[in-house]
Amino acid sequence: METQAPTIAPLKASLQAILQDLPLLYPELTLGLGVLLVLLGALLIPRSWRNEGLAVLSLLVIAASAYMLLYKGLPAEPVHLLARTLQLDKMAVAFRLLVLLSGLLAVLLSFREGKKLAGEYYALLLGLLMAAMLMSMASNLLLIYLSIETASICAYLLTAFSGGREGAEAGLKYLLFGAVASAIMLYGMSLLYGFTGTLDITAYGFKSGLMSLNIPILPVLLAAFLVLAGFLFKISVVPFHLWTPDAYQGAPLPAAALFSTAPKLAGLALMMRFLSHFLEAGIIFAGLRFDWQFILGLLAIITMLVGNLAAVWQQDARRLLAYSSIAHSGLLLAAVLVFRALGYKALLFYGFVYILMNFAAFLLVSMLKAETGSYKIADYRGLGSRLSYSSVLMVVVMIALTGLPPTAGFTAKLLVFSALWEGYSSGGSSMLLYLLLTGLATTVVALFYYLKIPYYLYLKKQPEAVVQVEGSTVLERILAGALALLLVLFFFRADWVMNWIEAFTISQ
Amino acid sequence: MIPLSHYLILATLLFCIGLAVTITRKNAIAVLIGLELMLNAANINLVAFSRYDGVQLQGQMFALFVIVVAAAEAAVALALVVRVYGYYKIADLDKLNRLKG
Repeated sequence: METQAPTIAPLKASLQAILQDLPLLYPELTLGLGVLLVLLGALLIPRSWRNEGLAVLSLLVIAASAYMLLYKGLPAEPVHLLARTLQLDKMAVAFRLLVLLSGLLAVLLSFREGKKLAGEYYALLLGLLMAAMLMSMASNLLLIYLSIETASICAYLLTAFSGGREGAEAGLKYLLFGAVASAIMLYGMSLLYGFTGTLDITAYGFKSGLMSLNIPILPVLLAAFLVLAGFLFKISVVPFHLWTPDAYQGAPLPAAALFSTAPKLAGLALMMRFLSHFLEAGIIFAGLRFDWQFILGLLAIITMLVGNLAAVWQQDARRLLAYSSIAHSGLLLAAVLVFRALGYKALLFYGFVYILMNFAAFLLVSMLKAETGSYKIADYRGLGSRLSYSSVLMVVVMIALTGLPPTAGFTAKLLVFSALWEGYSSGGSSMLLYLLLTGLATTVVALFYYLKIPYYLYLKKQPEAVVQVEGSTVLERILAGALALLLVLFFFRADWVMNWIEAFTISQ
Repeated sequence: MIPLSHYLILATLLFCIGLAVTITRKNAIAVLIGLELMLNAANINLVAFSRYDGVQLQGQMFALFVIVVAAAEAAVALALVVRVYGYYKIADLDKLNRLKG
């Protein structure tokens, strides 16, 4: 095959097409601009109110980005952007909104922690958000790789940011795991490129290349699995979960809360997009060829088991939340595997509620740390009488994380379970039933470790010597109260969230 | 002309060696070297395949981006290694065990 020199005229046309696409990318561009503004602000704002100033600036940037997304960036139809490297559909918009919501909460949580950190902290936070938003739109192997790497590099730096031994150790471990996972993904991508001759997973050539009979099925599957390994790492599914507890323990608390939401949800969006193109290529479910649902379902089951069982032994509240987030990853992955509009709706609902309850849990852990000076669950002994406000909220949030009524956590779990049941009973694979049963069984296990915290708060005696370190701020109290209130509210008015989700359903 | 399969075999070997190094070596710097081998294996694949993608040369483009990202990642990694070394006076990954459950 001879190479042709690309002519100038198409180049000009494609440049113009790129310029035309830019308005739909204003949310990402706003965040990118925000990174620069924050870096500039870190130099110019006087030290006495630098942290507050930068946090408010980041909030404004995120709000502006959300405004752009809601009022400028909604295409009537799914469109391909930037020379078919991004695919902007309703799913992408929904996940970008979720990413922005978690970013907003992360900045609100940062008012306390940010004081100890340099200004670049907020710049990295915004960079991570931008990359996660691109991740949920990427439909080209190059863009997928770049967005995952951008998100990862920001995350490594954020992990190491808290300073001290723990931060550096956690950052290095996270980086080595992450870099190996993305190198494996990259190798898989290079193979997929070789099989199909295109990097665009939405292109016809990608499908026809995968379906062509010249290529045996085994290398295609191998390549696809190598690529999925990179995604599973971001979602922290077993066996790619090893970094999670260390990173959450070493990272600043708001950053850990962000890792457990924004990149995870964006990774799920990416996985859904990637798998849906394999689905169309007939590789999934074609009885002769390969059952993806089975293998990924198996991983989801193992993830739920490992996450929930390992969490039982944890003494440190941050590590407990890390294993809890691994367990939730298993359930989120199960919702993806339903491969139906119902599973997609359940995923969005779960994602939304998960953001609320996870940030509430991290915020309360941060408040209790401010009161007791410790992250150890054993040090929460008998705080229930002294810190009644935080303790009551903690109980509500833990009940939500377990998935019990009267909280939205219950509704979210119920939706995922019913999606799994519907998928199974309408002729789906029996793996969906096993996923459902594992989900139910692990909920019982979850009860033990989530309720361990209320148990220590209320039923254990307080030690004599009480150390009052800093105390929580008014902002934290209001935010925690609001999040817990929302969790209860959305149990009774789940239809409000559902109406919002209906606007982003996959059928279009 | 060297056939495509030679490049693919070379890339596979490099990838496997790199993966073996990252898994077996204890020193953080050695792990980073293994990582670099894995990335470059993918680059060889991309560039080799890109010859059959005559119009757009997407593979070569991808390889260029990978080189840039690898440099950024290595910079962050080395900065972290230096910090870890500052605290522990070692770069042995097995001995970094302050974070435990």
